[in-house]
Amino acid sequence: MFDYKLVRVEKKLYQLFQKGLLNNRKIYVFGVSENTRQIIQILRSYHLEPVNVLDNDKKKQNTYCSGVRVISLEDVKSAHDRKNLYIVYSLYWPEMTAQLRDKNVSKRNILMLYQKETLGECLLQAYKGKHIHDRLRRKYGDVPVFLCPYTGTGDIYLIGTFWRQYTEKTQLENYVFLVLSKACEKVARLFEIKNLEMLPKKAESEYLIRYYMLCPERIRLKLLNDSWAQIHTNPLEWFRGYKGLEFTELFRKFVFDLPETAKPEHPVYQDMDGELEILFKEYQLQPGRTVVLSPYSNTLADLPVEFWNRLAAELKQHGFTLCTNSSGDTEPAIEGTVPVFFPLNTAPQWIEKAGYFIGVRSGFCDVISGAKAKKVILYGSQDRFFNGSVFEYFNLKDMGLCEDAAELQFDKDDKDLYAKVMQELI
Amino acid sequence: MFKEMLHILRGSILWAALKARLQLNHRKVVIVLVDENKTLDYYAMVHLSNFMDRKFADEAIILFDNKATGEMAGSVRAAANKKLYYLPEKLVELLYDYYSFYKFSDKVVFTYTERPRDNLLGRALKETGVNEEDAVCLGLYHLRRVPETGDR
Repeated sequence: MFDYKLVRVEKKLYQLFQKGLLNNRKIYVFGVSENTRQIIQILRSYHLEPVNVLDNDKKKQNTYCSGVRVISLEDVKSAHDRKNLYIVYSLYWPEMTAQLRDKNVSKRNILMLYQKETLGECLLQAYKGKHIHDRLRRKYGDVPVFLCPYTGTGDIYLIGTFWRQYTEKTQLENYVFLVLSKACEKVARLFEIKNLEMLPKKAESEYLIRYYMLCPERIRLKLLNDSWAQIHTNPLEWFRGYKGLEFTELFRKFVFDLPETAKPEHPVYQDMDGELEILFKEYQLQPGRTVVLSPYSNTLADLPVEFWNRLAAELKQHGFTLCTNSSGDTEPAIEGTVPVFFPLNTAPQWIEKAGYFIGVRSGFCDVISGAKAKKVILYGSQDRFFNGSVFEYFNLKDMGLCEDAAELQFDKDDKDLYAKVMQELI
Repeated sequence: MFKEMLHILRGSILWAALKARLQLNHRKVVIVLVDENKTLDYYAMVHLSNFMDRKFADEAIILFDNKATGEMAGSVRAAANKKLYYLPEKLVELLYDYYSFYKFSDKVVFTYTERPRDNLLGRALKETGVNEEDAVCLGLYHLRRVPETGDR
């Protein structure tokens, strides 16, 4: 959800929490989605844990969403229990609430957080989008506008790996390239991308797209994604993972229209060995004998902290020094390791210097995929992405990003994973 | 921009008029068959009941802009409890322009494959292994699977 919508949801949940209306409730969040993950994070900030996430998609049932088990509404015992609170934030709210009502759930027990925009609001957004476009035109002239409407660093990295081939093929000389976050900007800077701008507010991306939807002839806008839900007339996302339509293939074909011979190209890393030497000394890490642990992922399955603690202890016994890829307090370092914040524009060099990387699949893995190091990437075997598993859709080998990583799938209660990881490393 | 806004507002008036005339409510779905791809239109009828189940609807309104499409829609027996109405092509286009800007309902489906410009369904059909039945079930109806015909 966009930042201004997130603020609205946070405010609403905060009000309910302050009034005590969320206490002693069995909370269910309807629908596996990024929105649900954000809602779970907000609830957790009040020390509230949803009982389950509900989803009608059988493929998603018995999987996990931000560590919360996904079940069907049919599996909820006493669905009409007055203690239950069902949180709905989805475009599909009419079906969801109809299902709940069919189960005799009282309206009072359904917390509807989704707010559909009115036509007037959409027209106003388009008007705001025109102003953003005017501003860009004044600065860069009437050039094509490339927009990355997401904050996923993996997507930006994949875009970057095709950028040279795309600009050569289309003889693109001048353009503006828009991103939504500092992290995305840093990843984009790994590549030779001109006129890179970060939009000050994420909502500005929505406004620009809305202007394009209203006046497609007046703005040369290209979204750098195979499909984007706001442009609801393009159904391509629903084929993700179907009949071989995987991540790289969709981007190559439908974003860039490049031939099958086009392969992703890693950027040339800037030499920063001197700086890293100093930093490694500062953190007391041994170059070539350091394992970077990356246990956090915004969207995919997490592994229990006990797994990481055990792994870290064992690696230490084998003479490695260790650090945790951490962006701050919300991502604490694994026991016995030092927290390190890796700037994304230099992360590959960090990993090469360390020599070893073990992490759950996240956008960070795309960014460091070209680094020459021993890499172990972990995928929750139950995690789904549209029509396939996360592993099928995102594994780095099939994406064409690297051949040398050990990519392992794990179950929630996988007792052998620890041994498998150690075997790959030692 | 003013011109485009007016066009959208005309579309919204048309939708309001259709809603009143066809007595649309949350138990009805609307399928607009645009005759760009006859096979796609056909499968939109074959899997109509699956879509109605997904949307908790008990009636379907089928809009078409030519006789042959209307006859085809009427002949598919798998699509039960449907009512067919003719809507001139110009009005179908106006309604779709409005829909393309503002998704006024998630119970309305159009079978366009090439428009607006960012609709890549046509390319997916031509350049990948996705066929018309897949396109209807996954891309248009969001059923998340391709049910066997008659599998409900």
